[in-house]
Amino acid sequence: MFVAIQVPQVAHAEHMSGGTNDLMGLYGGASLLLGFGGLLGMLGLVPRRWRRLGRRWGTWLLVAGVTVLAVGGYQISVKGKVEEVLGGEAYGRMAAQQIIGTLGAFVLFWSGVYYLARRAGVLNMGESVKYSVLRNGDPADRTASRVARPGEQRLMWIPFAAMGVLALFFTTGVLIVLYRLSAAGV
Amino acid sequence: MVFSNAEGSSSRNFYYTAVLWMAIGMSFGLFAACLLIWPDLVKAVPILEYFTFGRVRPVHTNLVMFGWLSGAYFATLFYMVPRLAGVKLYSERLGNFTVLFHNLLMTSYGVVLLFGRTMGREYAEQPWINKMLTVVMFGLVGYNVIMTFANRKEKELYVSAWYMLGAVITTPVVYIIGNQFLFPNNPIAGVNDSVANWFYGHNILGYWFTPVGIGAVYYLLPKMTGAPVWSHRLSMIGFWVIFFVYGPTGAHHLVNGPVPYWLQTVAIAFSVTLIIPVWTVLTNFYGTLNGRWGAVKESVPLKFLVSAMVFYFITCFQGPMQALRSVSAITHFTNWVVGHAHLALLGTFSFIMFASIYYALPRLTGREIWSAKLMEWHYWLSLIGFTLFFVSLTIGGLVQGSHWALNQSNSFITSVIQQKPYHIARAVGGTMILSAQFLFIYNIFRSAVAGKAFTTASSGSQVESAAATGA
Amino acid sequence: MKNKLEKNAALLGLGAFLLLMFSVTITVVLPMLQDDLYVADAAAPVYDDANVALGREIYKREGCFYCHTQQVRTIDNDNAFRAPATKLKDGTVVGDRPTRPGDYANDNPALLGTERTGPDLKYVAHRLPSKDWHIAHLIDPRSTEPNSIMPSFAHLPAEELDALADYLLSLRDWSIPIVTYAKYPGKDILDAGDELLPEDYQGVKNPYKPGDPAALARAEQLIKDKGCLACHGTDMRGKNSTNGWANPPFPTDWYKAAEKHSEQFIYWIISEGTLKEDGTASGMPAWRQNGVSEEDRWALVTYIKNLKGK
Repeated sequence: MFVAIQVPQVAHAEHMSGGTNDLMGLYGGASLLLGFGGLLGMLGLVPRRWRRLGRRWGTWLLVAGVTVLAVGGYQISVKGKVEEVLGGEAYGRMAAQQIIGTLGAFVLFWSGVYYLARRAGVLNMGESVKYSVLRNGDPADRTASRVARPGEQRLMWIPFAAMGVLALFFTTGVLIVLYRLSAAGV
Repeated sequence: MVFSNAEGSSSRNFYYTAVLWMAIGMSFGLFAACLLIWPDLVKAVPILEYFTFGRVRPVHTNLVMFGWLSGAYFATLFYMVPRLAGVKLYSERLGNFTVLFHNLLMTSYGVVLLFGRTMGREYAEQPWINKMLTVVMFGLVGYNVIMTFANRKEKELYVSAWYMLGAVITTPVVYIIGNQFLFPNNPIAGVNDSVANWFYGHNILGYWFTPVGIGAVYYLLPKMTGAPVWSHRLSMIGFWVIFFVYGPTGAHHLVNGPVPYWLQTVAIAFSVTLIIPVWTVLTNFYGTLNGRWGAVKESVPLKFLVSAMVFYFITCFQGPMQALRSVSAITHFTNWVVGHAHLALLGTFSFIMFASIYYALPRLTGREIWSAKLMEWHYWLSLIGFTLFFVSLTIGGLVQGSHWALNQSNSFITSVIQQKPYHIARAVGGTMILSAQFLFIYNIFRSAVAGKAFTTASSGSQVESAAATGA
Repeated sequence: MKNKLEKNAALLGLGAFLLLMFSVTITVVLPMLQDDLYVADAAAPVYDDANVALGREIYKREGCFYCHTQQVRTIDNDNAFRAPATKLKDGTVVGDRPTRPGDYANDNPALLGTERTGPDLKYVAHRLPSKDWHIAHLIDPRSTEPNSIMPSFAHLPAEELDALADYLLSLRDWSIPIVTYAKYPGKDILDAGDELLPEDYQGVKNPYKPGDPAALARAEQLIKDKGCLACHGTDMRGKNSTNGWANPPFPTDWYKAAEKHSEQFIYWIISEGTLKEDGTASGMPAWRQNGVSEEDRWALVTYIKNLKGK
């Protein structure tokens, strides 16, 4: 059924230029933050202080995230402006169908997997399995039994800073180029 | 010919042969880099004149991806899977046969491409017969892995086991479908050919290179720090997100191109979502290392893992960004993309394999790594060389992209002239990387004959005794 | 307990496989169900000619697609790679658009390419219609473009270079007819004069004064953008068999043209391109059909005439 929804109909509006869909990036980002935060909350993977709050609001955050994605996607594809539109209205219908169809499939699969996983008891596996790799008889490195010395925790900042610097570097590079281009009227 | 059934032999043999393919494959890479700086390098030189950039480049990509990295991955699977399952590898004999198979196939890969017999599809250049043999090879490895898990004693599956099992099951499927279901005459033409090609091209990363690499990190990190992974549940989320989200991203290689708009949007949306799995891995990474950072000072493999995690973050930060149409407009077709690809395959997954090799080989051979100093050299030279490599390509790429955008692709030759310093910097970085690998190869082969004895927790089979004590 | 174990591993495998199938359905199967991704449109190149087909195989064999793309994106960045806007006899306008799926229907494999170390080639035959140029360029790229980093293919036999050139000439918008009008008798265009001018070119006047700086500046920009010097030489003195041009007709020396030809004649040649004696295209593009406006062509004329006496 979802295949039927997805198969494009009359509108051969498959090929269009530009489009304002990068707004989707913002929607996507917001949705990701909400969704992921919700998931962490639901599973109790947040610092102790927020654990109760997380359990209460986690599901709602997740739902909010998915909603933002769906509504944003709909807004962009159906209402957003695109340059060359062949068969305009039919395209709008097709785009809406495809967004809904994709999300529908997304939800179906996740829930299917979740259901199967619950039945098999996989979700109750618990954290104890993470010790198995330490006990499997493969001798650990010498550094595994090393005593931590004061001040060594600061080493963490090296990769952390590297990540930050590089992320900044890439983002800045891209933004500079995009800014130059818009300033030049391109 | 009788193949050895000695425990650990197939893993060891795969590691040794994989690093040789690395030397060959990376040398072709440096050769290609030089051809871009001195285009007349091989002109009028007998025989070599045929090895122009267009022929050398696929030899490089095929040999490093399938010779080096996949070879090291097979070795890692044969090392870690038995220890995750609590039983010996299902068949070392089959494993050793696979080593031979792999080496012969890789030789064929290289020779075929140098002769110009290519199918003309990126990462899928091999002729049909070699592709069939590649599926057989993945099948042989997959069979060994699955049978080991089928006979396992370890009742619960640790996250690395999930990743590795998922990888061996999905990879042959990705390969077959993406290579046009292995019909010999490439029946899908036109734009759909590209769509299928990039389904394969991207998902070989998502369903083969990523899971085995990340699975290896989840195994090595506890072994090197003594701490269990910070949150197993989080790592499971990461696993499912990767396996779900990676699939539809293939068309992000065709953004703004002649493919359906909806297909691009689907690919972009899922590509943006790919920022999630890297968070799960990084959170677990920092969480596990918490309070144990001192270990990094004393361990070269751990240094490689830390660097790999930084590069993994960057590559998964760039990816969602460059999938967006507006960013793709300036990064597509440029050197930025070359940098991005190497961040994943070299900076992340090859670095993880270096750590794996330093960890596994002493345990497989009973000999410590011969020279700690060479290990340090290997690390720093690789790190600095690679940083120079990808930084120069990224800047170069932005320069190319902005020139094309400002000039609407007029005066194209200017963008070529502008790339020269970046091509040179990249080649310098590449030379450093290659030199580091030669030191590495020398070190580990020396270890095989002259390394000090490595003491294990128990004599005889490590895996069996663990099972006996009911671990 | 054992049951749970089996379920775990099998479930895992099934889950991973199903997820993969989901993406396969959406991203591989669905596009294959879309008609318009298969049907060739009028612009799609056809490779029936044996030499052209051979050329395509050689292009693939030598890995040309690793440096050259064959797709014009749906964004302004790629404008220079579009086919020229052309009005057909029935009034429809073709060309001047991004590439569409229909343009690739006959391509197997599709050689869309992934990097632009070199320029896009989808419509290269419109920009570089001279077979001689292509062969010279393949033999030594730096003879036609000194800063090129493309490798030399001089080691390929002449038949293969010929086939490759034919293939490159097939890379154009096939719905645009290639037409050139200017035909001159004899071997050297410098010997021809205004008596050849067709009616619509006889009375035309240059809107720019001789040496007009704005016109000269515009012409310089155009010359750079359109790559005129690739054929006419960086010193603008044309090329012949001694410096990289195999066979006549040879690209003209602009200084001599400035001496010999009238403004109308030069305008005519720039607008309509030229034919060889046997009626085939010489390779000088018909810029009127390749996106250069009237004013721009007159600017070029002004520039060339400005070279007189220098």
